[in-house]
Amino acid sequence: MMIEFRNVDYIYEPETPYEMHAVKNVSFSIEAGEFVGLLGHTGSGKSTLIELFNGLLKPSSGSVLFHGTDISSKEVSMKEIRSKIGIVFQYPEHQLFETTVLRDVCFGPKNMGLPEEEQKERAKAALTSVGLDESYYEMSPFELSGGEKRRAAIAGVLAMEPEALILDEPSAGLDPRGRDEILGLIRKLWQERGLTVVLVSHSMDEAAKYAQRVIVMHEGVKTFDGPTREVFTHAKELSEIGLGVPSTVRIFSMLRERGVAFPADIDELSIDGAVQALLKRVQDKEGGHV
Amino acid sequence: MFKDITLGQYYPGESVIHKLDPRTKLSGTMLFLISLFINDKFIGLGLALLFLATMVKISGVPARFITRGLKGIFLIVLITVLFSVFYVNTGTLLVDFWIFKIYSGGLSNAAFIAIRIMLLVLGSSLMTLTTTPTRLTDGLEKGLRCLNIIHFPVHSLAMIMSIALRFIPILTQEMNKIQKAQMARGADFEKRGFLRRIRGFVPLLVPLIISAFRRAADLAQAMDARCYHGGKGRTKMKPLRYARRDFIGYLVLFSFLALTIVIRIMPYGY
Ligand SMILES: Nc1ncnc2c1ncn2[C@@H]1O[C@H](COP(=O)(O)OP(=O)(O)OP(=O)(O)O)[C@@H](O)[C@H]1O
Ligand SMILES: [Mg+2]
Repeated sequence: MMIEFRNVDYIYEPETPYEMHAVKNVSFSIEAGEFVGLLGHTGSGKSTLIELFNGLLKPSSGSVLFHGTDISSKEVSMKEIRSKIGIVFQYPEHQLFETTVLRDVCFGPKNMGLPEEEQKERAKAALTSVGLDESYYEMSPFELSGGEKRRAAIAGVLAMEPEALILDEPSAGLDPRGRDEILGLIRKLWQERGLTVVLVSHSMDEAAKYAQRVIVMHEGVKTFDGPTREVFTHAKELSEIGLGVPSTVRIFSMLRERGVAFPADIDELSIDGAVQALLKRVQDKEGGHV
Repeated sequence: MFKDITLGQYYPGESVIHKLDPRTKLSGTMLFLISLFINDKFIGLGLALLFLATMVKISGVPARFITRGLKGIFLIVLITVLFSVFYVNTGTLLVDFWIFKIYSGGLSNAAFIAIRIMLLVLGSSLMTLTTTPTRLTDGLEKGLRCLNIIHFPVHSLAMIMSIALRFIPILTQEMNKIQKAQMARGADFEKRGFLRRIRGFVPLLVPLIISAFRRAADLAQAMDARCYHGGKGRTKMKPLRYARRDFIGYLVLFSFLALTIVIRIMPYGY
């Protein structure tokens, strides 16, 4: 068990008129190497939840465990936790501040107290893995394009070589191509390095495409938690809490409603799977002729 | 770290104090501050304290919100108290130890000043806690309208002020976000040593300033798109009007001030 939440509650500004119970009695655990999608309507507590992962917020009650130790206990060094659980916040490009891209990416390793040579090495490796080559090293982070800035900011977290990477809507505000690039990159890191990934998203399609497992939040409560495919069978409940299901799943459920039968084991989550199921169905009907 | 700034933080409520016209509250606060300086006796301060406590009670704002502002002036109060304890040498000598001589006059003087400063802060806190920044600037704009005659840009100033006030919570929030993002990269804002500490703030300040400029540019464009052209001919959605409670408010205020003056000119008492 890599990361475990035990009955975690979080209340903003307790005992004031602005009191907000943002996370309510949430428990789950995430194994090393999982790719988890964290879904929920606006204000459901996703961002609050991820700030609890590395101790930026302390639970009002309950505990957060990393490899079995409570991260708020005294023996645990916050700095170490934060370098092992990397968090990429929403619009991470707003955190860039250094004079050059390379120096900005070095900020994390520098704070870890690594020697300068290693800082640079890690920064360069991180920049390469997000697809920014040498020509970017000496550029000012402020002259990059929106998508490049975001990749530089993600590199800033990767340079600490975390075991888990938590991303808050990394694709927000990007065009479809930028979106695919960023998410593709995250998937590549997950596949090649065995990184544990938690991806916060508003998009069901995104979650269906990338996540193995989905956790759904609603008004601070964990409402669903399970394999992506299984969670998206609850189309009705999901739409009641302001979410939906991936478009492919919706197509099949509409077809089924209209009396078109499909086997239960088809892959409804990916476009590839959907096309194959539809093709097969058409072929069956026309007796082998397409 | 900016959570302690009560100034400009509104405590929502439905009390008479909340509903008073902002001009009444502004003049009320002014009169209250003036009364504190008219006072030269402890009874006077007692009266002011009683007056303020009654207003707080009516407003329904919990005492701990009102007193939160005191934390910020603790040092000022401490320094003032120390100075007057050691420098005022009237009354009877109480302590004579090495170079320290403490007189009874010094002690009572120190207590007097400390109470006065605290009441000053508490009084202003009550106003900002019961008045939204928008209404406050509305009140200022209308109350100071007479200055337009001497071509003092009242409207622009009020607009600048309300924008500034509006941006305090936004920038505070922004700063919290940036701070968290940098802390997630291992930044430590509690470093020891003055220079290191200042340098530690660069990762916070650069993004914050950039974001402030970005927001300012966006706002200017949005105002322009809505044909904002300054105060001339601009009407209000909710024009300020005095109601009966405001007249009662003024009546209470002036009675309080009159009483303060009477206490001041009384030849006896403490
Ligand atoms: N600093 C704060 N102070 C007070 N309340 C807050 C604060 N941050 C968030 N909240 C409140 O807590 C609740 C959960 O917010 P959170 O940001 O976790 O939601 P979210 O699921 O990330 O939403 P979104 O999808 O819009 O990012 C919201 O109602 C929000 O208003
Ligand atoms: Mg969020």
